[in-house]
Amino acid sequence: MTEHGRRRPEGAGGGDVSLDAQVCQVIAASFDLDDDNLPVPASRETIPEWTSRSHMMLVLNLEAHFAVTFSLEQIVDMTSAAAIAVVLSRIGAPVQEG
Amino acid sequence: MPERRPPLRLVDPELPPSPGVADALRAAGPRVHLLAASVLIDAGALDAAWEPLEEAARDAHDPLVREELGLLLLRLARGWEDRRRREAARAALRLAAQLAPRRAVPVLARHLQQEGAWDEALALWARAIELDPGEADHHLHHGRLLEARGRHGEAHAAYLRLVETLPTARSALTVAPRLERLAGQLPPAPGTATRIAMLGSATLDQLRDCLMVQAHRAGLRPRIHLGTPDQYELEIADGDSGLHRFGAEVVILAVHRSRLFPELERLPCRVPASEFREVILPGLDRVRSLLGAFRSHSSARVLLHNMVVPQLPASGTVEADELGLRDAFHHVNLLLARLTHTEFGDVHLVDEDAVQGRCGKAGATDPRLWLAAGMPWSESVLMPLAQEHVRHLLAARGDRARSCLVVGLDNTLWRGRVAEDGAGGVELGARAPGNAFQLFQHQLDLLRTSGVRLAICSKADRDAAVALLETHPDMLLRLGDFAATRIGCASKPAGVREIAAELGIGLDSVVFWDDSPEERAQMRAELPQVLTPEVPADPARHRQALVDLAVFDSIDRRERR
Repeated sequence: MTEHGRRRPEGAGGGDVSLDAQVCQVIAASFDLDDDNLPVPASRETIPEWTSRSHMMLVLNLEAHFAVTFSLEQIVDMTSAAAIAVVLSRIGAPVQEG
Repeated sequence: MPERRPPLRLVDPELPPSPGVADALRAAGPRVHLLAASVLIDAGALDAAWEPLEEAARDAHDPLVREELGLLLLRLARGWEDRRRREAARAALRLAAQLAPRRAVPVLARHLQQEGAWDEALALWARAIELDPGEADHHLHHGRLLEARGRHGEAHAAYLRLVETLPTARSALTVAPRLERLAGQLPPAPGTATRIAMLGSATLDQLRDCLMVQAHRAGLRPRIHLGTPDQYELEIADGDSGLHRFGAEVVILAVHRSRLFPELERLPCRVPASEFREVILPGLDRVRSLLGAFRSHSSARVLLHNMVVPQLPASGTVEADELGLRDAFHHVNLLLARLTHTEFGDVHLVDEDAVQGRCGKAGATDPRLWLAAGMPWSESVLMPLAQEHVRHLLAARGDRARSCLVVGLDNTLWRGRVAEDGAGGVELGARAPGNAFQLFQHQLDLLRTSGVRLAICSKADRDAAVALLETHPDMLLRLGDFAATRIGCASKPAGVREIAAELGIGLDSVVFWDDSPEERAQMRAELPQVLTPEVPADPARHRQALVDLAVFDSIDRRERR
């Protein structure tokens, strides 16, 4: 992870957009924020727009973006970009090409 | 363009230029250039990668090669951006946008937006939407940039276009706060403001957002007050509550059956008929006193959700018994309808049971969202339920409901072209596909008998069409069923304008239904006041599409005449 909380694409010039970067993009889109200026770390504590109400919106957007379905416990655990990435990695979410 | 273009060096950047290799590569065709560029990008020799890519782009005609080139250029641009070589990155993105526009145009738009090239970025976002209309992010970027540039009306339209393209609850939840924010910055639009309060036993936030969006789609600009979940009794009873201070014109009351009819939830599997009625009565009294309390403080219109008849029988096969839970709630809904009709003025039932039935009761609640956030409705239900509210809102306003439906003839009332196929050649009748057109006619007839005025605007040959309308044995509608006709007209917008004038109604009372996408586009362009919905290509879906349009509702249809 870089200081911006996102893993840069590997190799010069980069390859696919990383999982972390995609999570941040979905978070930004869900809360109407610019993903270049998300706070570090991006979490419920640092993003005022991330309320219990908007959390459900984020969950639905993540499910659509990564074509996955979260369990109740996973939904409750996803309180930061890092935590979301961990959940997605565990369930083997496919990373979209950038 | 990049700042410099070093000669092609494939392996060792320190090697002297090798024009012989470059010439050979040129002769070898674009595939070799792609391979060379890919290796160079991986090795970090970004400037060196530009030349084979640019070279290959000149002769790339194969769509697959162009796509591959575009993706390599995107990688190259990303590398240059990492090295803060913005100008070089822009050149690569511009070339990529020509080769692989669907992937590269949004990236270029974003790049230009960051550079402050607003106008070009806006044009590119519009282009990205054209290329990939189902990509919500493009619509959102376009809307946000318009909003940032102070073009509020266009931003409002851009957000609504997203919902038109992707009419899902997720789109609505994204767009609702933006529409609400913009509404205050748009020029005043008389007759569009309305104040709505929502009360209920669960979290209504998502339904509120969907209602906000559906109302905006219908041309309204509502202000919505949201009650605290499960505090509806207190808010209604207290004349000084936030609800009453808000001064709503319409109050939506969405209370779950377990709150209003808890006795029924505890119903044993077999109950004598006498007890069955007794178990229902306390719930009805609860509704009566709730509405009575509300009326003592407010004359606002009330939209009361009916009770959703349970999908899963509590007692298995015993539910087939006429005294089962499902029958009980069917009965409750009948009694609620009678109660609101006979005892309270301006209280109307919202048929949530029917809405959930249409969407599928099995998926009407997402148990994860219910348990995690108290969200009672899943995505599939939210938008249709909000649309049901808007139907009531429009019906109550009368001025906004549509009262005239103008249809074409060929491929709308029958399959085929009467001028070419003749009356005996068109398809209409009991057999498919003619039965789809008969069903559509039946729906038109239902609208006609409920007070909607039907009209014809068609370019079909007049004599042949009139003969068919009057004599075809399977026509359900006859010429006399239409309040106005323009058959054989040269221009449909002109025809619709004449029809509206003849009937003495405004164009904003008219719905134009036509099978031709070109005619629909022309009507939307020339007469935007006329509602011109999309018509499914498959005639089997015409009837349902007309029903789903839901713009002909009125509290009292007789007022239309």
